Amino acid sequence: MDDVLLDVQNLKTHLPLEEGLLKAVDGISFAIRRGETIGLVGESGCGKSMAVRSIMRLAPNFADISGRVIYHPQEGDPVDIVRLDAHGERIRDIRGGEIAMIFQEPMTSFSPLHTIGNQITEAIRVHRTQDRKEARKIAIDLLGRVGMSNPSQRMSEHPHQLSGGMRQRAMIAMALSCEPSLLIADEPTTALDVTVQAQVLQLMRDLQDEFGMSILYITHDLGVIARMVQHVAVMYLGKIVEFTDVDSLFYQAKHPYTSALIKSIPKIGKKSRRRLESIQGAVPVPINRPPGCGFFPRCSVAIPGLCDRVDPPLVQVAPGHAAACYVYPEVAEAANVSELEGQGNGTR
Amino acid sequence: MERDDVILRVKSLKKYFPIEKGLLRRTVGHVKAVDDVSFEISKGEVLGLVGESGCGKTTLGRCILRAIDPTSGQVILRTHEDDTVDITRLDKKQLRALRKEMQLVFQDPFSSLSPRMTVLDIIGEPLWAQGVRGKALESQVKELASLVGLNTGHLNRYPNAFSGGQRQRIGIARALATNPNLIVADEPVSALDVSIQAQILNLLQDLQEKLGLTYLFIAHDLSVVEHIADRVAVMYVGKIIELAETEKLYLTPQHPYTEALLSAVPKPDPRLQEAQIILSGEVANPADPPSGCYFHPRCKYAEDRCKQETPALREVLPGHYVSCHFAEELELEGVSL
Amino acid sequence: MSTRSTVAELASPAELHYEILSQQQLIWRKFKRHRVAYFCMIFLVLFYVLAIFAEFFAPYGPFKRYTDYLYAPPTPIHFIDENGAFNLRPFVYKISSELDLNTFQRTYVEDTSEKYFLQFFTKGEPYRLLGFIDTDIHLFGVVEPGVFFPSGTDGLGRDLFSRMLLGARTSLFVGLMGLAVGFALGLFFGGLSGYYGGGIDMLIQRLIEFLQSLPTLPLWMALAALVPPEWTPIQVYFGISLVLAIVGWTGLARVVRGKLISLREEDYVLAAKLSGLSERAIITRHLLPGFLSYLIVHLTLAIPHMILGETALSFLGLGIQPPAVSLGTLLQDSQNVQTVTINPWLLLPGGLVVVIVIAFNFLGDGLRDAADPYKHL
Repeated sequence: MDDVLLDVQNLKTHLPLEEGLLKAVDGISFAIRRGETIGLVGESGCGKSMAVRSIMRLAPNFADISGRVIYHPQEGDPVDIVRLDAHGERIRDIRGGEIAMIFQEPMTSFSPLHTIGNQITEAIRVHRTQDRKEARKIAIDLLGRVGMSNPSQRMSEHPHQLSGGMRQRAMIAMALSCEPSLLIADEPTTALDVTVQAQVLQLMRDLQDEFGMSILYITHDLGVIARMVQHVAVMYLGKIVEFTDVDSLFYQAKHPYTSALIKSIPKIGKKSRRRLESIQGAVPVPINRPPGCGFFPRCSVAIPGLCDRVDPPLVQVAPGHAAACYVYPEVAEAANVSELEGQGNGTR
Repeated sequence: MERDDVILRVKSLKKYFPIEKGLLRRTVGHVKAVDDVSFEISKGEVLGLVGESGCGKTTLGRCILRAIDPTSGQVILRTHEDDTVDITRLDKKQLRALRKEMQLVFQDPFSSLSPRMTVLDIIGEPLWAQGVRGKALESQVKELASLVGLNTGHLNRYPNAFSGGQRQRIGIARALATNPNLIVADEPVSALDVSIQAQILNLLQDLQEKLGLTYLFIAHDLSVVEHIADRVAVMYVGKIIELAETEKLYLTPQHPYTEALLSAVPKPDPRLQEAQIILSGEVANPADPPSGCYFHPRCKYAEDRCKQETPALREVLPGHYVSCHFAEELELEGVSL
Repeated sequence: MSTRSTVAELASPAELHYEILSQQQLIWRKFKRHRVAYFCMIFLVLFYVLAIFAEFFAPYGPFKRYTDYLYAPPTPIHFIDENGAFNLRPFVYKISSELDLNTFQRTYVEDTSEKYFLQFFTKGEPYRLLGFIDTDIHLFGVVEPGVFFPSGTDGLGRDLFSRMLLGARTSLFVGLMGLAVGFALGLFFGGLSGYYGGGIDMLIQRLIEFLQSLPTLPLWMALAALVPPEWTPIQVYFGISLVLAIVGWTGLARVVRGKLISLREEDYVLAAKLSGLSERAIITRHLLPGFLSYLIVHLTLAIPHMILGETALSFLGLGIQPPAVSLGTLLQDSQNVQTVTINPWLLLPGGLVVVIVIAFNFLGDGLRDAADPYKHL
């Protein structure tokens, strides 16, 4: 397992709120290899954004983070990001330098006061080179590579002068400016129109071929997942309920939530006035949640007395395919033998 | 395009927003949000209206409901009494009387429900406006609530006690309250979670079949529109550029923009990831549109003629309307199955 | 980062409040959590009660002069007598004055030979409670010839505590009166401006800007000078309220206009319009309830301005005139630095103004935090 870049082990992010304990991320484990693209898919409130914020140590200060996030740099010893000082120098080095992040709304990550050029060169000078001229050259080159026309002129523009798609490109340029080994993309195309989304997705694929970084792709859009990633982790209520390669996910989904979700979305080119197979109920909030499988109240194959009592662990149920559901004997077995161990196993 | 069961006939509808500048607010130009749009919807039909943000689809929907006043054109609605009324010519009082014939389902299930009113009052508001009060109002609201799958025991609760999907049901119940001839649904599922979208789509479809409703279904998501619509109109910079039966439009599009739009939709199937048509550039600025065909700067088939002549929306195949000079010559690809 | 702000980021509001509460109930619950504001509200309610029944709570009448006790300091209350014996009932000693022949200043000393116990419901000067109940019972006092001045006396030998209670009544209610008028003006012009927009809006906004650009104090003074000198204290009282309102309505008009404009853009107001509701029904069902909570907050924060305005005007001799009592007229006595250094208790009315104003501000803050619907729990 030499090529592992980021190893997330039993990561938990609990937020003590006035209403009770919000288990935003509740024991997730997965690994990202060098050059690999992983998708983290789930509906709003499933904890996917909080998970990456915890990995980047950008979670709120009062959040209670536990578990391990082992980062293996190109050179030097592995670091456990969870143990680092959230405001220290090492995490700031990693953040933006070795692990970069792009967000849904680029306006929030650019300062409206400075030009695009200033902000990108600034990032380059912090992480890569002290030389102002060289940094500027790198920045112009990057803007050209993310497909912005007339990059040297774009350098002197302010973020609000760019359209949504162009801003997203500028943010990708900034994220790539330090040649990160991992790019975390949090719903980067959700706010964009379909034709612009297609442009940006294509750009990200091309850039990955060119730079060879790993990408952790967070989205709620199964279409984007199918297009962009190799492996997928499906999250529901703070837990990973299924982990597999993208083809198995769409053709041999193991978890009832995943298969129901895939069936519930209308597919283009399959015109039918047939009803969609919908999932009943609504996504609950993970505050003071009772034990047992989070999907239990909405599940069509739930086993009362088991599913609503013990959390199903994520266990390998087929080669390279892990699911957290008691319909698979492996899961029941793992839960009986040792509940705690089961949590971290399946994914690796 | 004459048909006798037409519920809504829109004729050369225009909405220009003035661009004002300076201290004296001089009008220096116009944003042509809706620019000469015509179409019809028959009774019991679902017309899908798709387009990217800023294409004018929401403005069009609002103009049809006279939520905003159109600049010019006609919106002719058939009422329950079988009269045809041009909504653009009504005064305030006449318009209020006609409100019961057409309703809107909103995109945002949060801002569209007053936080200060109980669900009973919210759903009952259109009835209240018609003068229905007391027990009659309550029993009708109960009926509506069970029709959309809400628990009738929860009607005295406030919207903040409901989830997004349930709130959207409340909004749909309100829209159904006066048994309208036309329902404009403006992105009714795009603010909802993926697993909830299917519930609401099914509900809208069931209601349509049960009550014979007519929808103008506005959305940016082509898969959702394909699922629910009988015919689809594609808008680009204020104009309808293609209109056809859903299946024909999706399988054999006649306009290069429709082709690119269909190709750009990420398909939730890893085995169907063929090369996409990636359009260059971005949607034209409706305040300063390009000459000729608005799509020509992004169109890979564009020729000199496209830069000069604005193509008209014409019927190239029975029931299939396109505004492209070369619709007959081009061999465009639709959605592959 | 507080837990409050993050909840909104983490989940949508509907998912968080499961209770079946109306907006008002939610506001009230949030308000009660704001301890300081809640305390201030209780304090202000009590104080208004105190002011309404000022004559009953005051041991003396406001104009009753004790010529033997000019500039007498607050009377000390004792529990332990000169022999060191403990009394459960508090008492005061007889006060006798001596004139210092070198400085010609009067000093007051306690004469321990006579003591007077504090009593509840003593008979004293007759008065008319609430303007129609004739009585002479005061909540507390001492039997004549003993005297008890909790906050000392002024230069004419009048009990400052009693005068403060009565003065506070004037000041507190001038504030409310001014507010009522200002509220009507602000609601009217703000409503006009926000509802119709266009030219009317433009005109009213420019008028408001003009009024706001004038320095407040000279404007008050100019307007107060218009109050005819032959008016009775009651008329002056209303006159001053009006002056305060004319200067103070602009802020409220702005709030009303801004809120109306933003509410008109709300989807649910459009829904009401599309439901066929009349303009009047939209205003009464949606717009007014929509900004009522904001109005209450704004009003709470406006009261102290009114009180300060009255105090300032009366202090300068332009507002309420003696013999009528207000906190401002009481402070006129403290205009002379020398008098204040020798008789510091004359500043007590000023302290009272500060306390009242602070209490109103905290209350307003608490209400604003609670009423803001964009800040969830």
